[in-house]
Amino acid sequence: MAHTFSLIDPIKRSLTIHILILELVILSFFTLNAYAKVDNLSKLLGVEESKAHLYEAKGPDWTCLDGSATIPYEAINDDFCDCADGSDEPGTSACPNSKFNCRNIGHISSFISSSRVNDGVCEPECCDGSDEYDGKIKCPNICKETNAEYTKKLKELEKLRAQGIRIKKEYIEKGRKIKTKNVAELNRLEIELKAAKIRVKEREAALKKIEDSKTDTEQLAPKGNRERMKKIHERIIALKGDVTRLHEQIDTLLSILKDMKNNHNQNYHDMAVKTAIKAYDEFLEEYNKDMETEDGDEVEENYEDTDDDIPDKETPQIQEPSEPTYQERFLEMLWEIKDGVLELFGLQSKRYYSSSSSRDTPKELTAARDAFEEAEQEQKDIENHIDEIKSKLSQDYGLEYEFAALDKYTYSLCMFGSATQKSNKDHSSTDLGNFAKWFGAESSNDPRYYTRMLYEDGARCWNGPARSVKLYLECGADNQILSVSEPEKCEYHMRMISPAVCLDHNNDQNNHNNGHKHDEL
Amino acid sequence: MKLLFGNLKFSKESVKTKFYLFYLLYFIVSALVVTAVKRQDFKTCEQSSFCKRNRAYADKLTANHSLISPYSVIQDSIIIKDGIISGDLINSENNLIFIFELHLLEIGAARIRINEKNPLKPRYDKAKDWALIQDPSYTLEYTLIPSKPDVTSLSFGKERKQAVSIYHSPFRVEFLVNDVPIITLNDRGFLNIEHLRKQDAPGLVDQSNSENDQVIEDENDLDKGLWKETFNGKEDSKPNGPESIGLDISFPGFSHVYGIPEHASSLSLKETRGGDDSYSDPYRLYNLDVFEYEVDNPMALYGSIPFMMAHRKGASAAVLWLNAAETWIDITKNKEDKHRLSSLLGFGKLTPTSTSTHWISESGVIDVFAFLGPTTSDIFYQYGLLTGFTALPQSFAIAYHQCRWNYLNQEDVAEVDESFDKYDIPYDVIWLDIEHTDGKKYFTWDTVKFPTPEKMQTNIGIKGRKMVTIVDPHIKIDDNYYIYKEAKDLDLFVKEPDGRIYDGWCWPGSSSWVDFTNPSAQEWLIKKFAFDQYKGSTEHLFTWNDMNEPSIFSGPEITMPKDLIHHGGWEHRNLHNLYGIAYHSATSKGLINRSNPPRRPFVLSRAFFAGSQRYGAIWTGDNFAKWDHLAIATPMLLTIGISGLPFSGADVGGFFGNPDTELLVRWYQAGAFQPFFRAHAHIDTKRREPWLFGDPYTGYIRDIIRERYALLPLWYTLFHEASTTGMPIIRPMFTVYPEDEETYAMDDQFFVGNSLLVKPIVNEGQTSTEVYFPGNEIFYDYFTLKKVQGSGKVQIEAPINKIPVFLRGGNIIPKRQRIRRSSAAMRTDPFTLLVALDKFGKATGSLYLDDGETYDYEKGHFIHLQFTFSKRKLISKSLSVLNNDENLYAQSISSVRVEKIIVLGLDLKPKHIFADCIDCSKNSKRELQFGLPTTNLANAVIIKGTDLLITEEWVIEFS
Repeated sequence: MAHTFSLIDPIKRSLTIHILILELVILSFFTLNAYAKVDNLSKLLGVEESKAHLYEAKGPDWTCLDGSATIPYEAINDDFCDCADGSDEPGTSACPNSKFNCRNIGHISSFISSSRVNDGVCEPECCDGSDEYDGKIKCPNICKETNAEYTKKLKELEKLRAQGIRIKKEYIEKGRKIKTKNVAELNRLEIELKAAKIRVKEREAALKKIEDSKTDTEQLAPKGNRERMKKIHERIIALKGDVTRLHEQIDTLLSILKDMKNNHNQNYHDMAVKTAIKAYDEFLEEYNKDMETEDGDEVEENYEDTDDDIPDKETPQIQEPSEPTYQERFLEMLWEIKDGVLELFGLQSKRYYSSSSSRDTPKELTAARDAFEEAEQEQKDIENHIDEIKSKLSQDYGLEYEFAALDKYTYSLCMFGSATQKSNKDHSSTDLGNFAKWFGAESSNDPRYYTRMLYEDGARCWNGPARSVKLYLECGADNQILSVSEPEKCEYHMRMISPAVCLDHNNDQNNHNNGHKHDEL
Repeated sequence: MKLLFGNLKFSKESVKTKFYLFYLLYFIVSALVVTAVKRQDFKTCEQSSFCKRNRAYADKLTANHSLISPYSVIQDSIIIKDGIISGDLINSENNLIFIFELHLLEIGAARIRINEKNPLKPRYDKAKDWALIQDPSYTLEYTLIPSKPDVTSLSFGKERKQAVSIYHSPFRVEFLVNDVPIITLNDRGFLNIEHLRKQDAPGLVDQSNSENDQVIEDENDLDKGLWKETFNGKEDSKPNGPESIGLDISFPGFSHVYGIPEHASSLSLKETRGGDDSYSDPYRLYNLDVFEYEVDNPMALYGSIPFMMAHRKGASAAVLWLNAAETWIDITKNKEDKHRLSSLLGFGKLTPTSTSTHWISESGVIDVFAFLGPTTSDIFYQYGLLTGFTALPQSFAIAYHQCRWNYLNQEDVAEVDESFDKYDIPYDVIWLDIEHTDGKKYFTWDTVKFPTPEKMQTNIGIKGRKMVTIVDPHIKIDDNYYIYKEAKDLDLFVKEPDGRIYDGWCWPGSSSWVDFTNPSAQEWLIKKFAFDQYKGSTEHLFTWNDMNEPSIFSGPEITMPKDLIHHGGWEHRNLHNLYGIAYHSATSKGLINRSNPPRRPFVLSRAFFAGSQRYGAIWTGDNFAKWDHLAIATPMLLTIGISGLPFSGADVGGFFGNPDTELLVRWYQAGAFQPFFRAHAHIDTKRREPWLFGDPYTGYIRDIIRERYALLPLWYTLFHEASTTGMPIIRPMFTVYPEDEETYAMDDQFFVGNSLLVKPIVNEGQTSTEVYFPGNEIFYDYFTLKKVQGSGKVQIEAPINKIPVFLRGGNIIPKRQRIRRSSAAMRTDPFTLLVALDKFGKATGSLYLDDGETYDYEKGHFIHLQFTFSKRKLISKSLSVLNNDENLYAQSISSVRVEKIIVLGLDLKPKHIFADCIDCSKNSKRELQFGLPTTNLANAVIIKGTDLLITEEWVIEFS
């Protein structure tokens, strides 16, 4: 149902208003010190135009709109609540459940709760000032100004929305392209994966063939070595993983402690907390110092470690993304020297054997092995890539994929990634959470569904919950975080504008009407 | 996703990792093991040397019946003149002389003061300057009663019904009403005044007849804290040595005593020296900031009122131990009365339990008031005449308050304010905690968060709402902070013994404390509230005094060291419990003085003392979102209320922790029936504004807040009553049914005024409860208006949306059924009268109203109506001049009507109802419309009173 206004007979309307104005004049005439006695209010006061006919006198009695009671017609708007549905008091505050209609001629009529009638406050919803008529306060009619402002704002909003929608269309286009591209990429990769898998099998077979063709004694050692190498390789990777994890845990713990230090209740002199904070400070100092000097220490530690566990200098073969570091080069040098010395004295230990045996492996074998490993790696890479694309494709980028274009669009909030809080003071940053879901509405079909994002499971607060962010999106011509607040500890609210949430006019109109329909019921 | 600590470099392979991790875990685990209150932060009697000494002294006398009090009246020293009986006492153990004075007071009380006759230097005696409104006048209505030579007896009062007997040797004082002793002093001989001495002088008591080595050892141990004490590593230098006072006060024939707030304990006080369900420590009065306090505990809390009341059938009595130093009170109850009283009382087989109390203060003089009743309301009045009645608050102050540590900024404030409107929940005041300031510098604003505080206040002020900001007594040490600078330049700070300004730790960090016992500091602070001084304040802004025990994080027991020096050279130990009231007083006066003509202040304080009722409201401090804290709020507030301070409340929802929805709903229901109604929450808690819970819970909270608003006329009338008679606003059952012994220890249900019986639900999952309906009276369910079936203990349904509240037959309560967004918006709304008839078809009630803001009521601008229903006639009579042209208030509401009258319990249904004016010449008799509701109400008649004015006298006849 479309919302309409100014459809009724203008003469009748102006009549009502005149009565009202007349009353107001009389009322204010009587009101010197005391508040006005509101006798004989118009029976139509507070009635919306479309229901005016229900309040016409059709005899001495009148029946409540819900049919619950019949009362004297005079009891309408007599400032006493007779009807259960409040329908007998549309113009007073007598019934708690009734609504007062401000006609707001020249603007849009609206309803206020009966409790706002004659409460001494000029309601912004009633630009005609009709809500205050008992003389406590004089509310001027500002409908003309209100309407002008409203129209202006509406235009601005319209402009902004048009702009936003244009950009959103681009986003949708972009999103589609990304999606198409990803789907295509996925198809391509899946084909490649098949090929890669075949290649791995082939090369594995080839390698096996070469290895099998070797004599037992000679082949055992390198094979054993190879197994061992593989294990060591795996172990190193595992250890690296461990170390990274431990570092992450240290990060988390440090963040918890930092939080505790900053946010603990000073009011409460808990020695345990104080001791912990002191120890944390000391620890941090020590730790930072260590971090600075660690490079030097590490060589030695690595040396000791490798002396026992790592049999040869093939370590560098383990894929490093960057050039060998100083430590690694130093280590290699040590191994060179060690090997050289041992060789010199003819003291080839078993270990030396095994390490050197790989060097002595025939080129053919090495090549086969390299080829196999390469194929294996290739397969892994493709698999990773596929996973990545799949996860992107499964991400909820909105009804029309409009948010895909914003992925990795970083503020201090990384859309669909994590939210972080960066300190301007010490450049430290705190994890506020990771994208969890949309929650603007119950159903994802509701366009409002895509106006609120939840980021959760951020760094835990001292004595509190894990940090989380609620991101509220509004229509705007660009992407901008408007404000960030922390209404309760560790729960952040961000307001952001983005074209991606601009709804086109038709949708919005529907919503608008729904709202009014609801009001009218 | 690399986050966290950008300033730290991490190497890839460090074996130290595990080592660090271990330590980190260790720190965290040890930090997380946090219990509630840290009992070890606060002293027990054993750890407070003067308490220990006095307890030991009491034990010695109790253990050995041959020992008697060494204090006696010096022969012929007694002089009786103009209502004062004075004389000298001698302590036979050290031959020191003391003077005592007994004042017979006009207010129906007596006062006894004991001091050293020739002290080394004056003992502190200024507690009276803060607690009393003036030196009470003496009565000349007394007669000497002839008695034995070693007893001096007088009867006093107009009818000479009260009497006092002073027994000379040993010194003992007995107060009698109608010849029955009700209060005795030094009955057990615990009177002990540690005289001021030089350090080499002998100890507390002569030990000439010490029985054995063990005793000597103990007493040497007792000597340890005489000249220096250390607690938790903090030293009290005690340059004056021991100076404590002790006295036993007995209430013969009384099995229940009440009062001495503030403790998280029961209404009827428990024994502290053995017995069933007793405490091991005495009740302690020492204003302290106790973090996450425990319930059912005699530990000291934020405020102290050394007032105790005793009640039994036919008699009530009370004492005020006027002392502001650290005070401990032991309570014992005797099953048999050793002191010849049982026969006198004539209770036959029912030998009453007597209650004896032992009062111990660290310093000062003995200054005790005995209030002789005979009824509890007499005592409330007598105590009010002495210490002042509660100030009549602005009307907004008794409406609903919304607080949180912290509303973050102006946008947050605006949003909360709008949400109340959006969800149709009324509220009157929004509060800003410490984060609103610039670095915890009070009287300043964080201009980033609150750039335009005046505008913010005006925006809520338009809707009739107010704002409260916190102003604490710790002053940040910062020469660029004008408050600090001024106080320093004016030399207003509390000093170290060596004369340096004391420097302690509180919210802003290093801080100093203004000495509000200094008259110049009072004057100075009062001026600081002027609108041109407190920038960003408007007339919509009011004040909250927190941390005024004072709370000092670095101090002993989280408060001020006792050896600090105040104005006049007095040590802090003498006046500790006054610090809060001194601050509260200056703040309150500051708010009065900032407007011309003056307006009533609103100041909430956490610390309090006897007399704090003159300055505003108090609350029970930092409670916990737990069911037991909800439960304890009732006895705590009842106790504070009968101790002369009726304007009190507990933080709704509990300050610490997150209440679940049920607890929060129950807490709102309880809070709506407590005098000060404020929701508050700690900064670490989840948001809990009423609309965050969703329906039906938000609806339940809305309903009960709205019910509070509907009842505001009743609450305001009760505040007026309290401000003129001293009657508590919420009342223990025993004050309403003084003859019903069943009610004496009852503290889980109470009355609002005399008309509403309330039993808050304080247990999780509870949906019904047993309510005690005393007497053979009629009670009506307040919400359904149905008559309660049965009397005595009745099981009552209490689903989550309902708090058991009952309207007592015989009462008429004024209501306003139109609920607006704030109380101010309701001020010209019509009234509804709820008339609940008793079994004789009678009821009475009253309504007091004024502008709710100014002091114009003192000039007669108010209305005060008496409603009476009897013989099927309801009459509204004015207790004051209504038609006076000078009564501007009455004129301003001259068109306000009584829109509805609901009469419950009318035996015969009326055929016609007529209204007429009283004492008017014109024939104005007219018939009123009425309805008889078909629902199962208690014979309710609902009258549509469209033209009955509240400012006219009228009569309604039911024919």
